[in-house]
Amino acid sequence: MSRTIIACFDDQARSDSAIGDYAAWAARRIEAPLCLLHVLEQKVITHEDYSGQIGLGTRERMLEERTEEEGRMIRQARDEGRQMLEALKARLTDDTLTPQTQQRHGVLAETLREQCQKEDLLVLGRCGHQHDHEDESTSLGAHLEDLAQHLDVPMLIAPARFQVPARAMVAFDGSERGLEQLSRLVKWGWLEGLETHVVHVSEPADKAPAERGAELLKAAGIDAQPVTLEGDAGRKLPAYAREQAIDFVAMGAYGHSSLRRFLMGSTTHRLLEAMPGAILLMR
Amino acid sequence: MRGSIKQNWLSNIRPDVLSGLVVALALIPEAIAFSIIAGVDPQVGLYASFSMAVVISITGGRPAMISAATGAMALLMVTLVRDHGLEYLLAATILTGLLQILWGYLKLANLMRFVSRSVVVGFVNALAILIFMAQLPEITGANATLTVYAIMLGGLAIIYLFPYVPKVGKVVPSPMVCIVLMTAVAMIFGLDVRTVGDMGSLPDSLPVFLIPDIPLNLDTLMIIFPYALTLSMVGLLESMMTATIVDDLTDTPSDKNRECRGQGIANVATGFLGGMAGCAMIGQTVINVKSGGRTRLSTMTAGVGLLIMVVFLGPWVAQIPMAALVAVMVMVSIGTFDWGSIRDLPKKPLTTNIVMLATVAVTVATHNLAMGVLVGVLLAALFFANKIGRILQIDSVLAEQEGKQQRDYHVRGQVFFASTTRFADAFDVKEGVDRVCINVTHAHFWDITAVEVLDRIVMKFRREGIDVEVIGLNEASQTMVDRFGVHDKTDGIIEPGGH
Repeated sequence: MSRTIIACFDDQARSDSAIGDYAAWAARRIEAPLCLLHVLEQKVITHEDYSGQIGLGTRERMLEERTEEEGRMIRQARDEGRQMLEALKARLTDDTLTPQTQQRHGVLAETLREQCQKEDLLVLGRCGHQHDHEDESTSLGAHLEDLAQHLDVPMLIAPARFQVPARAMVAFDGSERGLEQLSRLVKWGWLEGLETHVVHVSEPADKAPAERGAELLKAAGIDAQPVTLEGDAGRKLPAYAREQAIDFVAMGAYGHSSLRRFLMGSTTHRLLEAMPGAILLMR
Repeated sequence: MRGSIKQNWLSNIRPDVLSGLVVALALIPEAIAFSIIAGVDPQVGLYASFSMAVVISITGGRPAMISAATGAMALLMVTLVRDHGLEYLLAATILTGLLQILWGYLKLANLMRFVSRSVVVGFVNALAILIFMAQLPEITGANATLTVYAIMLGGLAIIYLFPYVPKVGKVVPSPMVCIVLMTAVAMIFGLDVRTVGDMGSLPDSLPVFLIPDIPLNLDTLMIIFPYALTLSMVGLLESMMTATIVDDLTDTPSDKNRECRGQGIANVATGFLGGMAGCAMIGQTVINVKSGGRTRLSTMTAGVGLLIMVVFLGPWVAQIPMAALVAVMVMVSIGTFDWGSIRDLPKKPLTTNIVMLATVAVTVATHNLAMGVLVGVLLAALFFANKIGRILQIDSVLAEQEGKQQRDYHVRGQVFFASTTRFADAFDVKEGVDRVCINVTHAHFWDITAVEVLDRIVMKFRREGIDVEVIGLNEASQTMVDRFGVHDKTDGIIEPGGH
């Protein structure tokens, strides 16, 4: 299985972005090639013109003006983006890793849908650029929730500041699918050398699933410990993660059917919003 | 394209709401004017504009496009309303919608590729001219008073000059300023001019669902079907053209077949709510995009805004002088006209210009955009066939073999109905040779006419006692896609055989 790590940047991204660091960390960990992708989204230009008037040739003139103006803006964004990508590439390149760079024009979701294979891993920033310095847990980037719902690829969601992950948490639902996800985590080497908490939340508390999960990891030589919590997963998991200073969380994501997405979506959303550290969304 | 609800409705809220309101204001005079063209009460057009805009904002395939009661459609219903009355118009509107839904499922939007650019330009120009001509009754004959002209010219001056006023110019829609000021002037000075109120009733309530009061029998169907058929075609034509304009202006794609079905659903709903058939409108759509409208929210705001304003401002709307409406409609007409097409006439090929002008001429003569488009498409197809027919080259060499004279013909190019005469003329059947060899390996025989003309030439040579051999016919006639059904087998990719 060939797998590429695609780190996704928008116009506001800077070369010191943590997305790059997390992507490089993931690339080294699972030994996959890294592609730095800058998506150039066309900005909607709105002139404050509510005159409601059209004259001879208005339509043609509008088309010309827009083409000219949008072309100029996107040219500038492309140049800046290229410099950003080159600087980022220079910063991340070493003996083991040589990232590729790529720029694509288009709507973010559409572009990613075209560019990502099912086996790829997408690395995205957690928050919109406006929230760079605010408290991480408060807001999801405008695109993130949409992308998490509509793209069927694994994602690594990077917080604003990079920190080499040391303490991991796996949210484990006890299902067959969950076990399968655990073995995939092991297989790709995500948890190697990390102190891993296998957390199962249920109501009432049931110790068996977490222990079963932890056994599986321990058998693979991973420093795993079972944790059982009682209550609502959407609240308990983030609270536990904060308490334990977890900096890497692996969890399953939205289901495929829209009904299931509707029912399950709120928990995943809440988790995405409140969880500290980097989040690996598995499929 | 199939974005989320968030992206389709809420990604551009402020500009969408503001531009929707600008359009709502502009739609009021248009809906009234088009009702008058069709010969129905202004409320029929106003209800239609509300319902078209609201329904299409949900069902349409082109976000930010404005649909409402339109001039193109109004012109087609004049005789139906005059001869049979409003109820038949409502029934025809519903049938129009049903047909459009059918066309949508049959993916008729794909046929738009046969409508060439010059036909589209002709359509747009004809539409502009018809909208202008429809205003003439208000400013000629008994209505041609000094007051009427003063209001109209004053209105036009406001529309085109007000946007230059610093600060407020770009914030308040100038057509609205024109309507408000001219109405105020007419009321204050008690001017004796025709007003909207004289033209029929205005809505004083929200529209209600009702079934048209007509006998449900074959006679009714025979009356409304021809109208519904033309309305459905013209509605989709204008909608597809407008969608392309928005695609270009916003550099985003649209789903044309979904738009067809959406137009259909909107017309069905409109008919049941007591509105006249409508479609997308070029002028208002351009205004919407110009004002910053990008998502479905702008169209929805336009429809809802229009209804709220009309229901609450009813008594005031009735006071609007017709001459002020004329000023707005003249602006719409000017804005719809494709000015570049006239400016560039000398630069464009003659055939292109003929197609465009023929579309305009036929439409203006018949007041039927469907006729104009039909003539334009046919003319364009004929010109094209003529051009392709010229891609035919026939060379020959005289050779001597074992004391016998042989002429070898080599045919390259397209052989079909438009080029068979040229094909036949290239062979010299009166030449005193013993043998003739016709190599058609590099020719394409597109139709039966082409095959028949080849047969005829072979016969003629034989009559003159000349032996004929045809080489490569199999390769050449593989291009007869009709017979071999290539388009069924290769999924639409027709590969010319023989190469």
